[in-house]
Amino acid sequence: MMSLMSRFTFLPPLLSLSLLVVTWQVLAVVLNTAVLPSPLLVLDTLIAALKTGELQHHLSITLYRLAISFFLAMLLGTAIGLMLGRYKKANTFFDSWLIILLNIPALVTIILCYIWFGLIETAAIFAVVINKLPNVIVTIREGARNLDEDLIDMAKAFQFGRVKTLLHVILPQLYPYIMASARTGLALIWKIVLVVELLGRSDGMGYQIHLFFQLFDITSIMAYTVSFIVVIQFIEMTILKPLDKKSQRWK
Amino acid sequence: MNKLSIDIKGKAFVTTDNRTINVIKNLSFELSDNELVCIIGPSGCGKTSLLNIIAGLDKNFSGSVKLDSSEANYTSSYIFQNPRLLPWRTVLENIQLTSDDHENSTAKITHLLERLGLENSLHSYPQHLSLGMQRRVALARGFYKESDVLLLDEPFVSLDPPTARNARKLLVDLWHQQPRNILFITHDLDEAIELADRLLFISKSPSHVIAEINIDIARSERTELSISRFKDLLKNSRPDIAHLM
Repeated sequence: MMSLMSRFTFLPPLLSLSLLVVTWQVLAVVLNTAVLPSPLLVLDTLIAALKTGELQHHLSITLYRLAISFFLAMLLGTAIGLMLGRYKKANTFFDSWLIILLNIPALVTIILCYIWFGLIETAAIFAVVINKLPNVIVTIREGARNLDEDLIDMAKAFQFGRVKTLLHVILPQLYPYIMASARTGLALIWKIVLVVELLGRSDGMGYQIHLFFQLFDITSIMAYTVSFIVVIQFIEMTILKPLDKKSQRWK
Repeated sequence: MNKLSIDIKGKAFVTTDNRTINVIKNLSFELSDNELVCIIGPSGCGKTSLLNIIAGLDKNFSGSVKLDSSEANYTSSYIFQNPRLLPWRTVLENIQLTSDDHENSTAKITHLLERLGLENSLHSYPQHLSLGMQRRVALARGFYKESDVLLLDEPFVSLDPPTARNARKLLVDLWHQQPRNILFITHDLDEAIELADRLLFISKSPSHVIAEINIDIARSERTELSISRFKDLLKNSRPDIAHLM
């Protein structure tokens, strides 16, 4: 049994997913209420939305916002986190800023961004970045504090220079921290993007879900959610997992 | 030429309980004509601090290190006590990274590694090599980069005696092939006599040079017997430094 399980590693997750869908179906049948549509009904709605092209339109807009704010937050967060982790004085000075940023509710930053910059795309992206940034900074700062000083001294002794040191000595050590914050980042950012869209955009998943909420169209809300989960799983399988594997090859 | 003058007026650091400790005071000597000099001194006398200053890792000292009495920068390479290879880069990449000269680099490095018996490990990651092999890679890395001075900080200290003997032989071979000034720190006088042109004895901290001994045994005649005879002679003729031997 064990060898069978290990040979078909995709089986256990598949089984657990099927169990989830079956439970959902049973619950929907037993409760028989409009607020919990059955999986089949959701699938029908999903296909219908795909046929009209509406789902793809809003999904791609949300994914576009997600991608831009994700890369901005990761890039800025890594740079700032690295700086705070390496320079004690900068860290003591900015630590309180970080704590404040970490604790401002997402909703407040979003509303403030819309008030200050107007209901525009830049404000939406900026709000998402501001929400994700402190998490990246904190994770990368932890990594930067744990850098191997021996290797950094080696790089100095052989006159590596800044770029070489960053690429070959520092970033490989930060890699696990970058991957960790990328994973949690993706999850956090897509939640925030939806709120941002709900509050101040006239397209995207968040806007659509808000619309369905007003129409009390629960089936569509679930169909959109399912489509998004599939996309995120796809990103995890095709981008994050292979990146993990590639970076671990020296171990 | 290529005369490196080291003149350190003082190096101190402050401990966590705010005491100032003078590690080095008025330590000066010269390295020239591609000689191999061994430094011997009691533990904790600031030998590693000295190498870190020469390597440019520590700029917080008074004094100067100059090449041919000019202010121009000199280049150094460093072989540390532990190999300090980048675990995420292959042996080849680890060595290649130390130099910006990429012309024929693979061929040159392959040749160097062949001499060290590592020709099959070119594309291995350091973690897959034994400690002895990693030290040989570090040796190759130290030599691959052209530099005015090569610094070694007890590089063979935790190797078993036959491997260490082999490594010393390789060091001398490589040095004959690619002559340069070498500064070698050790606490093992036998090792120092076997390797060096000249020995520098350093006092306990605040350290300075207390004796300079030229080794006049021909390299081909440095056997266990001649080394121990030289040591006995030295102990008898220089009672002032006998406590360092």
